[in-house]
Amino acid sequence: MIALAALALSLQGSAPPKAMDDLPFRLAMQLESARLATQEAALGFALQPAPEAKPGEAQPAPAPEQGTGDIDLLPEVAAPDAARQRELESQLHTRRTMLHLHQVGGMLTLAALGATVIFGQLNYNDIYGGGGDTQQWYQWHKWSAFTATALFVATGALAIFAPSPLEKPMRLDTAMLHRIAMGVATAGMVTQIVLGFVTASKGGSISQRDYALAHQIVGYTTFAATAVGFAVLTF
Amino acid sequence: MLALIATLLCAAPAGQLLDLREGTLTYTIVHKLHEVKGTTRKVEGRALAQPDGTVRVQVRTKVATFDSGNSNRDEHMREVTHEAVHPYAEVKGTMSGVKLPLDAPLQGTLHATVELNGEKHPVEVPVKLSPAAAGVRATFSFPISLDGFKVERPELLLIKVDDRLVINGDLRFEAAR
Repeated sequence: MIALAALALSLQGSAPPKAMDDLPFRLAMQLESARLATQEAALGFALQPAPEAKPGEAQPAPAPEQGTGDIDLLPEVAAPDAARQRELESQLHTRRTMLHLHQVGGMLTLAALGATVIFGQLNYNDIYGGGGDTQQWYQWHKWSAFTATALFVATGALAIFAPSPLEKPMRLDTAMLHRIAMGVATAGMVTQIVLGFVTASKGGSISQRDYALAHQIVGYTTFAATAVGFAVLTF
Repeated sequence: MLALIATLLCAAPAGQLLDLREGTLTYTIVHKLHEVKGTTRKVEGRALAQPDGTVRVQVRTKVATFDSGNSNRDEHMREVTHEAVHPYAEVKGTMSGVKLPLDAPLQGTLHATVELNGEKHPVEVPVKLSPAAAGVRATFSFPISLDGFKVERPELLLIKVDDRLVINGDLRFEAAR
């Protein structure tokens, strides 16, 4: 602003009374003032008021330092609120831990579901495919199904209950496809639990085979949905 | 007399200020299973072209504006770069031998400082400048080390992404209004 004032005086031709006594010095001052004024005007900061900036938003920059090589051409950014950031960092750390475990749980769930499908198919073949109904795969199928269900629930809970302090838009992307696929898988899991018990309770009846077939189809669908939910994240 | 000198000094440009009008910044990271590109168009920047051919440049973008096609992954990138504390990624630097307006494409090196995750590192950025409508178009590409910037490398299926992250830029500057 001093530079602007000096420039204004010069432009008006109204030099102070003692101006002519030290003309060389004043001339040098005028030149420097004019140079700075030009710089300030060029950067667009000289006549701008300084609005209050919210944390994370831009605010006007101070006049650039001359000759430092580290000139700020853009407005400075206000420092974020420290307490809020600590809380945010803590939540993000918790989230990261939970999602890390979610990944581990996802892999284990997929493996357990795969085993359940295999044992289920072997059990189906044994009972309805001419295997002699030896029931040799029944316990394998049952316990792998229980394991898969427990892993599925725990893994899902890790994602659902993870804090999500950062705003993010809801849109159709691979993360959304993952959620949709896992939603289908969840519906399949619930159906399978019901169908599994119903099928088991129909022992000896003619309708048991139909229930078993439905259980088989839903089982493959559930496994496929889980696999898709897993695979889309690799894109 | 003094008024005349001052007026002349004011009229003479100490440098030409350019504003970033549009552009994209893209990062590329490689994971064993796939390659990921995150792009932002919300870039702000300025350049001050001085009469001696030196250009000072400052370009920055909010880390939160990068879009990799997966909101969870974008969120993960924000987490590992501590976006809450360091919301901006920034490049500041100087380049010499640039006379505006450009008559022909020009290759040069921006002696820059890159700031990410609150860490600053010097980087030599090869830049290609070319005349563009009412301004200059700058394209560049340079790698950085995530470990160097103390960024905890994101991982998928317990496999971390590579340390090398490549930043590509395509920016168009025009004279400031």
